[in-house]
Amino acid sequence: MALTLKGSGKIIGNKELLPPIDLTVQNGEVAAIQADIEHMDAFLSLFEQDKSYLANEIMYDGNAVAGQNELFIYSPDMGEYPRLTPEKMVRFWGQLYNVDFDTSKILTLTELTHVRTKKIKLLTYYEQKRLQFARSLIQKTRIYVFKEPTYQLDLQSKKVFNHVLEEIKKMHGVVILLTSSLEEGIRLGSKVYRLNDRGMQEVELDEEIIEQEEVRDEIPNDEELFQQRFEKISAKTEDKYILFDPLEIDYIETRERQTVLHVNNEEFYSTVTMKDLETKLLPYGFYRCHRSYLVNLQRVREVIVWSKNSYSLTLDNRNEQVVPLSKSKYGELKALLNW
Amino acid sequence: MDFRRIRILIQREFEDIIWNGQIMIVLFSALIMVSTVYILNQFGFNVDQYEIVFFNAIPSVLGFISAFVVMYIQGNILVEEREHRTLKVLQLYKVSRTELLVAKSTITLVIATGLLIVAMIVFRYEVLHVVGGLLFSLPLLMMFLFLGTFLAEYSKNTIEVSLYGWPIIIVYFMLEGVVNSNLNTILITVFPNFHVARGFDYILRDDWTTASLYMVVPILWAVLFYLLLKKKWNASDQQNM
Repeated sequence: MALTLKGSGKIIGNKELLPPIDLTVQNGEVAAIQADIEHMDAFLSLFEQDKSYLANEIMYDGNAVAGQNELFIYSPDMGEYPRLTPEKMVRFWGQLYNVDFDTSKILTLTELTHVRTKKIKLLTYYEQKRLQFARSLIQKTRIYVFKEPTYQLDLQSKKVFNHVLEEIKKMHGVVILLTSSLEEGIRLGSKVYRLNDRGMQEVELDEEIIEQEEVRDEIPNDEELFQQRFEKISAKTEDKYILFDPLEIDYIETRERQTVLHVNNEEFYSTVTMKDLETKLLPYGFYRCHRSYLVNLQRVREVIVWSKNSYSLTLDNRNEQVVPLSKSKYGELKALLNW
Repeated sequence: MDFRRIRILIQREFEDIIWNGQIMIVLFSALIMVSTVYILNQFGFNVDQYEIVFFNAIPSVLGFISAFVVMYIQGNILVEEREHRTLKVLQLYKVSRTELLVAKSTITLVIATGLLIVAMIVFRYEVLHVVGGLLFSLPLLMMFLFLGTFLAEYSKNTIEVSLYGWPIIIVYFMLEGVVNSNLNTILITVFPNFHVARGFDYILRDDWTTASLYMVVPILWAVLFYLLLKKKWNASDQQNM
């Protein structure tokens, strides 16, 4: 059973807000879509406007989805009643959906038991977000759409969201997750897509492909590495090249076939390929933690284990940026860093 | 229209409203108003042989309850759904505009009629006059209910409801002074206050037929505001399509 989305795109005036979409998500699968805010909103509007349902653009298990009440939608701009308590709020949602459930279980899962009788307006931002996640466990549906669920969340709330996703997977739900962060998409999604003006492209995540590429790339041995001559990593801006000392770089990612250097919370596009950078930066303590990421191990502060298949690295910089760590690389990194 | 959903919405609103400081201040002010009118009416003041009447008892209390309590509460509790970004969630639950409006209006009208009954009891109305007075007040209450809904449609938050609502309240009370003065002009018969004041006089004299005739103009005002509201809804629906 699967959700099939065949959106005809969205054009307003002469501007194409959303290119045609063709997406299939299997039950128990999380399709993470990385997009900018405009594309994200345009994509979400496919689920929010009646036209999509009338035109049978959203199908589940071969049948047309009748309306947005058949799916769960989470968006950061949705709020709660500030004078109610989490317990009353959860009960209210349950009554509206006309479902029986264990309020205590829901509050325990979302780690809100200690504030169950506290007014929502007195809860922290993170607790309020977790309360919104609780809504997804109440509604009995098979299709879940989340927009930026983990944006600006703390570690605890991100873990809660992971548990919520696990629960949804157990119920064989189909999850579509819209995020502006590719790292979050990779961490949370079983399949990752990029959505931009050119349409939707799948980001390859298959561990086997990564391993095959690694064999094909054949990193030269240590002797060869030290024989290579380089001092700086170049990045191109509008009218000049900037030369970075390798140790200035926090991490490097591949984005839309371009190499992006993250230096002191700023982004710079490099003209060097990821493969070449990996070769050059290996002696400086850089590590290919993911197919699309090369991280400066000197900057790594935490290794977060979200689940047995999902890991991340938190960097020791101002924004505590998070970089994904592949399942296959976890053991290797553990041995390398000897923790 | 799903009555189960309306019942749930009303239940939630009651749980919420008792902690709503703004609404509680409005209710408290209304009770103070009833007491003040009652106390002031116990004294007679004469200046140069003219009797000074501060408030015309129940019609003035009704004006206060309608303009201040009904319009303000209705505007506030409706706009709060937008202000707290809960409207979108309700729409996902297929809660329609009508269901939401029925639920909110029920709350507002229950509070308003409760206050009105208390006021009439304070002013020693007989049971029949209380019932008649409530029926007679209905068009004016509905007029301000639609006005409150109209304000909520145009406002983004409770501050804007107050901002747009206060001039309406002030104008209504200015007119209250005009219709209760000795000014003898046809123009004042256009205002609902004029009819409310006269209507209550006839209710107390048990002249129900004449009293019911004074309901016509307030009904027309209520219909006018309903039509304006309907026009606004149609415009918003077309915009969302």
